[in-house]
Amino acid sequence: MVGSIFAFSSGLRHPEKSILGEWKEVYWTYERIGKGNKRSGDLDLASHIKEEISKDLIIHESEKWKFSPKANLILFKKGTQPHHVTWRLKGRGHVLKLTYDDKHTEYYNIHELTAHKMVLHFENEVHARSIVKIVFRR
Amino acid sequence: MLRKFSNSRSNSDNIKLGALTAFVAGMVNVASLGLFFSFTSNITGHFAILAEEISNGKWFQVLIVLMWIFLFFGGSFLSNFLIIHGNRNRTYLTHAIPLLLEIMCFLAVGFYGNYFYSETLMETEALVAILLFAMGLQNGLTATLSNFAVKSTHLTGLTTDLALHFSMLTHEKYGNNKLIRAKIRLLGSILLGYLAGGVLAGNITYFFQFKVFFFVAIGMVIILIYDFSKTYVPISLYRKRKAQEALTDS
Repeated sequence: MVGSIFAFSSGLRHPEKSILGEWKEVYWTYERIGKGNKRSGDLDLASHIKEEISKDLIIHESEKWKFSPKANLILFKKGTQPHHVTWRLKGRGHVLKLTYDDKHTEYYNIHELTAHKMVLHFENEVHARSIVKIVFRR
Repeated sequence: MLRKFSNSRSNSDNIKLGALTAFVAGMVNVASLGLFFSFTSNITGHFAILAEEISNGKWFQVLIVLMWIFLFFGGSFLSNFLIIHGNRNRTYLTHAIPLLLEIMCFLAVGFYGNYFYSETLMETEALVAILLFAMGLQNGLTATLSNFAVKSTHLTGLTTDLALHFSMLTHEKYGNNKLIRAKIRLLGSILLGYLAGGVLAGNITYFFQFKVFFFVAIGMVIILIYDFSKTYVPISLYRKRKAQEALTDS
């Protein structure tokens, strides 16, 4: 059974292959988790809030992400030098691990990964406890 | 701990077996969560994930989670199979085989993780699969030996049982029932063992990474040696004494 699962799963699109290539950041939203865990629904992030949330993150201000097969992720932003980061998938392919040159590590939940769309989630507590969603398109 | 089978076991035997194996299960579960982002002794959680992945149509993940669940199943099956088909006159050896296999799994994960792991998803899936198989072996062994009294990785059932037994103590008919109190001691030790193992792993995994599995394997070897000393040392001493008595008689 294990063998047949492996054989069958090899015919399916492996998350490590699905993620390869270029992704453009389309927008950021967040779900605020307020008192009593009430969620206020998706809210578009104003650019200054996005900046504040992401200022300490590896992905800060990147507009285009390029995943290469040998665990290399290049983050692009117009007018700046591209940023090289190591990427790995963990768990059952639902967690994206990014490692910076100084070994600083960040983790993102892969909420959705299809041929044309990728949605990453991460928790932040800058303003209020919330889940930030980054939506990408090919 | 290992040499006695089913109904010939005392509550103290079960407490030792349950607490130690639960400690190992707690350690393995938390270590694998830290290293792989995946639980390895929480099958209820894997079933929940399986349902979620099916509903989301993520078929690759569905197959991976199915494989993990099947390996846990396979480990439990193999444990019981080895015991019921093993030599009844050599219970220590028969009961030790699943533990030896489990130790081999931990050593394999520790060794590979320490020297070869490059964090690809396939490696992660395979290493998690080996750990789930090991946890299945352990849970199958403890459940078979204790006549289903000890399940070292089944915390949902354990918490339910503990609550039921505590609630029985509130009834005047059962308030002083020794069996119920003994059962509470057993369930409580398993729970504390699991928690202690998890806390320890949570604190040391960051520093030791995959070497944690070597510590787990050492813990299992200690269980085997302890039981070996309880099984064979008294027998050899008894034989020695008998031989001396025979010499003095002649």
